[in-house]
This record gives sequence, C-alpha cells and structure tokens, in this order.
Amino acid sequence: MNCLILNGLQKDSDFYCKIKDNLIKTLIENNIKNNWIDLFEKDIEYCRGCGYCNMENPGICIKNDDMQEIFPLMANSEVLIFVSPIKFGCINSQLKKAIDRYSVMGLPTYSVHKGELHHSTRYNNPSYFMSIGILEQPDEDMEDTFKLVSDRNANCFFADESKSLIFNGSIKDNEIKIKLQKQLKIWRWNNS
Amino acid sequence: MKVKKVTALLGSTRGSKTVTESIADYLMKEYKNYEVNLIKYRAHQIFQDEKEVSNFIKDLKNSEVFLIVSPVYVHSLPYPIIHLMETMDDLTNKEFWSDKFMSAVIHNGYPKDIQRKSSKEICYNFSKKMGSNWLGALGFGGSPLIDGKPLEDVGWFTKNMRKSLDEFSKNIINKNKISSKAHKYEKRHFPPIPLHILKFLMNILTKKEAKKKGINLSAQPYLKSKN
Repeated sequence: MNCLILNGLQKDSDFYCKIKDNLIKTLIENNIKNNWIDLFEKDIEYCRGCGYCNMENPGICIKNDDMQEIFPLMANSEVLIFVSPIKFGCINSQLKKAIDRYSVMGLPTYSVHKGELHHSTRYNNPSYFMSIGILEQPDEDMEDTFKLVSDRNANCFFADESKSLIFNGSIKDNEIKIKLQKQLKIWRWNNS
Repeated sequence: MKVKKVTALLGSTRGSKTVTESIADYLMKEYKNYEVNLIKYRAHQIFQDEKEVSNFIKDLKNSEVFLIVSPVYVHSLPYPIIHLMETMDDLTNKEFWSDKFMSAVIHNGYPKDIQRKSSKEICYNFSKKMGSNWLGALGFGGSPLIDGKPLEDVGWFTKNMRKSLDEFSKNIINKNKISSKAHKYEKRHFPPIPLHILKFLMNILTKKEAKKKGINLSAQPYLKSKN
C-alpha cells in the first residue's frame, strides 16, 4: 500500500519534525510505503481553470511543472494525507496551490456520491484520506471549518475512510504519536 | 450613514468572462444606482505583484466594505484568494479592519448549499481574525448555465439570483446583515431537479461533446508511471 503525504508546513515550523517523524514511523509500522513531499521545495503553478484536463486532453495537465511528478503519486496511492497550518479554517496557500490542480484526477462526467453531485473519479484512489492541521491558538470556528473542508475533500476524492486531526501549540510530542497511531489502527486496511 | 466605496476581490483565475465577473458587474450596476463606487480587483492578477497588492490595500483602506466574489475550487476558495488573505493578515492590523464591513458571494456549478458552505466559512473566519464586521454570505449553484454572460441576459435561471443580489446590495449599502429576504431568493435560485436526472442530462451533454471532439474521457495517463 502506498501513501502520499503533501506537506504545506515550512521546515522551520516547530511541528515539521514532530509530525513528519511520527507519521512516517507509524506508516512504516503499518507496512505502508510513504512519499513525503515538501511542497515549498517544488515548482508548482496555480490552476487557471483552462479546462485542458477536462475536455481538451482529458486527464493531462498542460502545465509542465513539478505537479507532473506528483500526479502519478496521487493516482497510485491508496492513502492521501495533507499536512498544513490552518489558515482561516482552510489549508494554507502552499498546499492549496497543489490541491487546486486536483481536477486532473476527476472525470468530466458526474456521479451522485453520498447524496451529492460530484465529478466522477478518474482513478480508484485514494481509499483513505487524512487531513492534519496545525492551529497556533485554539479556535472553535476555524477547527469546525477545517473539519468541514476535510470532509468535503474526502467526498470529492470518493475516499472510503477519512479523518481530520488538529494539533495546537500546546500538544506534546507523544500525544501526536498516540493520535496518529490510534487513527491508523482504526482504519480497516485492505492491504492483505 | 450609507456606504460610499466597496472593494471587491474576485476569485476566478480564468480571466474576464466568468460567472464571478457576471456577479461583480451586476452588483456594480446596482451600486451605481445608489451612488456607491465598487472597485474590482482580480486576485490572480494582483497577488504576485507587490505594487498591485499595495494599490489594492490602499483602496481597501478607503473602503467601508470588503466583498469577496469567488467560485469554489476543490471545496474552498481558489489559491490566489487564500494567498492574498495570508498577505492581508501579514500587512494589516486590527485598526485597519475595525470599522470595515465584510461579505461574500460564492458560486459553483453544484446545486447543494453544502458544496459552498466551507468557502463561506473561510470568508467568515478571515473577517473574524482580521476584526472586521461580518455581514454574511450568499451562495449560488448552476454556474455553467450563466457562463460569464450578464445575469440579466441569462433569463429565468437568474431571476431569483438577481432578486437576492438586489436585496443583498441594499443590505450591504446600509451596513446591515444579509436579510432573510435575500436568503429566501438565494434558496429559490436552483430549481429542485432530482440529482440523478441532473447527472443524466449533464453526462449526455459531456459525452456528446467528447464524441464530437474524438477524445477519450476516461483516460488514465498517470497510472503508466506507477512506482
């Protein structure tokens, strides 16, 4: 089983090593191969909604940038994890720039999924989606919005299982590990 | 006291013939009737340019209302808007925002309100963090049917949307929260078509166009590079 982790955190963030070390260790313990991508090190353009991937050359993004390395990882990963500071309840702009390009992973046709109309998926992945948000100060509204955005993304990706985890400045290193381990154990992995 | 100046930040990254622009232009005409000046900024044209960002913040400083008009991109606001929100967070303080009012009009193609809710909430959270006075947000589905045309030219489909925006304009100009009347017309905007019928109709149109263009809609090009 493959996991793609798209990280919007800067390396100098207090959380960078804590999240990365604990997450990768936990994934290895669960026999999951991982690809951790630091998005701030990548050359990624923003989506201009040109429609090329939709009705000109379906499934191909016209932009020749580092997303061309990331799209195959998206298509071939059963587990997708976002890591980001929470900005106004949303993921940060670094991660958002990459995620806005996700439309290449969808078909131009529509499906009804969980009582909503969505673009059908081009690939069968991801089956599992997790969104990890870092919030400097506790804020109920921002936490609720982050959970909502995460749920919306899970629906959009047609993920079978999804979870959002929010950490704030007061959380201890071992608590991060426990929360991640707990969540990964809850998921019923279909990797047999 | 009535509002004199509104600065609108437009979220679409597609250029000038967009639904975002249709909505902003409609509001601009409405505001003209009340002698209110609405200034448009396209987020994608300014967010990477320091001078443009500075001009935008200057205009915003002299405005009583900050309005976001935006489509939904992957269940939240488009990247240039989030980027500009982060920039505004860095460059402005509570004093800058304390006497300002903020609102948003969010749109996409989908019929259900829940598919615009997260974008509205992000605007609310931004307003709260900055310390401005939140007036509420409207959301409309069915964007492809508008397709960048003036709202008046679309006909029956935008009738309730225009009524909602008319009410919205009056509310904003008077620095009032969005009224129940504006929300009533907002809710009436998208006709109650069962989703499976909508899906069926839209898929027929899409497949017809694909056949005409000779393209394979379900290609999986990125599976080839499996590692």
